[in-house]
Amino acid sequence: MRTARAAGVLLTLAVIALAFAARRGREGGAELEPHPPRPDTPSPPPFAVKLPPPTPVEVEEGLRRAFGDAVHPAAGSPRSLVGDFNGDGAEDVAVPVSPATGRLEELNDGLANWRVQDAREDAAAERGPPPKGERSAVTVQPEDVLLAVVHGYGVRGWRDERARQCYLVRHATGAPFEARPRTQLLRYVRRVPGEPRLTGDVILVSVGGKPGFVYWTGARYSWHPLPSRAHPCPSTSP
Amino acid sequence: MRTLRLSLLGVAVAALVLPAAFSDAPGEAPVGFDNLTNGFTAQADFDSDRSRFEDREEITPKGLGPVYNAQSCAECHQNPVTGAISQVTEVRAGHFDGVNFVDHPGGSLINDRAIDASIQERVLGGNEVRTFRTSLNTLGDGFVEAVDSNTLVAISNGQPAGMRGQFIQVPVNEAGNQVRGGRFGWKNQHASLVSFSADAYLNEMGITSPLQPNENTSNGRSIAAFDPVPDPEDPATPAAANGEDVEGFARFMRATKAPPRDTALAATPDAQAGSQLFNQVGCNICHVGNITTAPPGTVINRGAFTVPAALGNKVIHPFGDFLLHDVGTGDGIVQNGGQSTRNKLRTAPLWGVRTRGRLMHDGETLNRNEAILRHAGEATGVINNYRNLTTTQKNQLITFLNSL
Repeated sequence: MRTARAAGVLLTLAVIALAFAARRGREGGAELEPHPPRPDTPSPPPFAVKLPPPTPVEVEEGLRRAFGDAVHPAAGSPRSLVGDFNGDGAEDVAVPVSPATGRLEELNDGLANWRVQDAREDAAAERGPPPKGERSAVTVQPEDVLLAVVHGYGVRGWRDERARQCYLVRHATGAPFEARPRTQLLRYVRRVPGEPRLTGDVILVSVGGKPGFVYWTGARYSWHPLPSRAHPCPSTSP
Repeated sequence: MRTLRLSLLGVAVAALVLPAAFSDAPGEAPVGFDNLTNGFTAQADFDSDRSRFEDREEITPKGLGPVYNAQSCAECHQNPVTGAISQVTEVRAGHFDGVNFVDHPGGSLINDRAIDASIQERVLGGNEVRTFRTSLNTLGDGFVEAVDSNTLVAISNGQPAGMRGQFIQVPVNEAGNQVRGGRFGWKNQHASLVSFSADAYLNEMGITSPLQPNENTSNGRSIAAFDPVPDPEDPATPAAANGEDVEGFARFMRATKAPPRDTALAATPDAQAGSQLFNQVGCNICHVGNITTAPPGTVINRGAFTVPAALGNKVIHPFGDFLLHDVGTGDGIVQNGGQSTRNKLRTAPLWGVRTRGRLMHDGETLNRNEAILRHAGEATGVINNYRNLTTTQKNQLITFLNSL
């Protein structure tokens, strides 16, 4: 009987001691060397695969996926251009578009699935004094011809069903409307005052009679002027 | 009979003691924009350290510059209380040679101020990679430092393939540069608050310390002739081996409360619906809502710091994973993580985001919807889910964000 009693007491004490020992172990340890994490997410595939030129049907499909029926290719405007405009390795498409009739409210909705930008707004702000007050939201006007850009995703680029990041850019559709690889422009822009940061391919566009190019700043599409007597690059596709 | 009674007594004692022993239910980390300590230090010490964090440094005697960005920590970390955020950005630049990022001469950080006009730094031609970086919140960083590196690895391992955050290990300067899981800065370039403080003291204010004893240059040119104070300008003392200021800054950040929610807005049906949509859409895969810090007594920072009771076993709600991701906004800059991190950034912790008007790493985005739509790359699937929401649902999700 006595032995049983003692065993019971000892057992209880042992359980309590173990519990506290376990707790102390958790409290006083050193941070362990992290286990090797699983392999990192691979970078997006490089823009190595030469994709076929876009067909009008593909372009309209790409626009519809991004903008629904709120825009359509602008009548009498140049063809679409492809290139890696945002420099992420996936092919993007740029198309001059017009707002669809009666869709302005949707196009200018603050919660729309696209962003409306003005290619000249920030370039002007960068060159001149800072604008007074808050920056006003850019809105689409009925007569606008806008540059619609759909950013690509993965090896299929802008044709991929997941490619829905898109922009409507004002003041970005003038002649000659040609795409140029970043590498070509990079050599040239080093001689340009206020050298813009080029992250991707560019689109040569004249605005207000001045030659220049539209490029991705990392946050928006912006237009930058070129000296009128210089033409930086021969006409080749990017 | 007696044995039975004793046994029952033993069981009763165990029943009382064991839950206490095993009760490891973590507590909520204290929150508040109230200038009060989280308990890591006494309030008087916290006030003293806060004052140090707010001190405006001068050329003499402290050694401001010769090149610098601000005169006090609080110039960039102040809104709405000392230690939080601000609209202030800094400039980083360099060159991409087609394979690797190459630092701008003198380093990728281009200081915006100098104590003499002749040594003003500027971005030199040929450094086409440029970015702004917004000032980060430091409130609650003591809890972030107290998160076990393995917790961050576990978060990464739990993320879907294609969205898995990159965990990097970076030097802990006060532990002889042994490495630990990075978690501070836009590139996760620091793992400890002492290392972060010494880095910021040098690179933002131009003040050297035992952990960062060498002055910066101006675009790579020595500016020693302009520096009247011998290095290290924040010297070691018997009480502070890493410099009194550096250790005081770290102690201040460790003692701050985490950013609080707007509880009134958070209680509204819209914000609650938005919270569910945030998870349903998948934002919470990277903007992780709950992380528990390591238990008190855990030795971290490679032996340089032990997690105290005030910081240990606490649940924080950072809405971030402290991992690096490529969401299409990468700035092209490499710091401590190697070339694979060139276009990756740390998930922005969203706690306190309601105090920000300029969003994303560069502050270039001015509203919530545009910030969401700016995500691409690894976040493409999640953002396409967001695109499929109705206008009402998008508004609810944004209301939720505005409650953080």
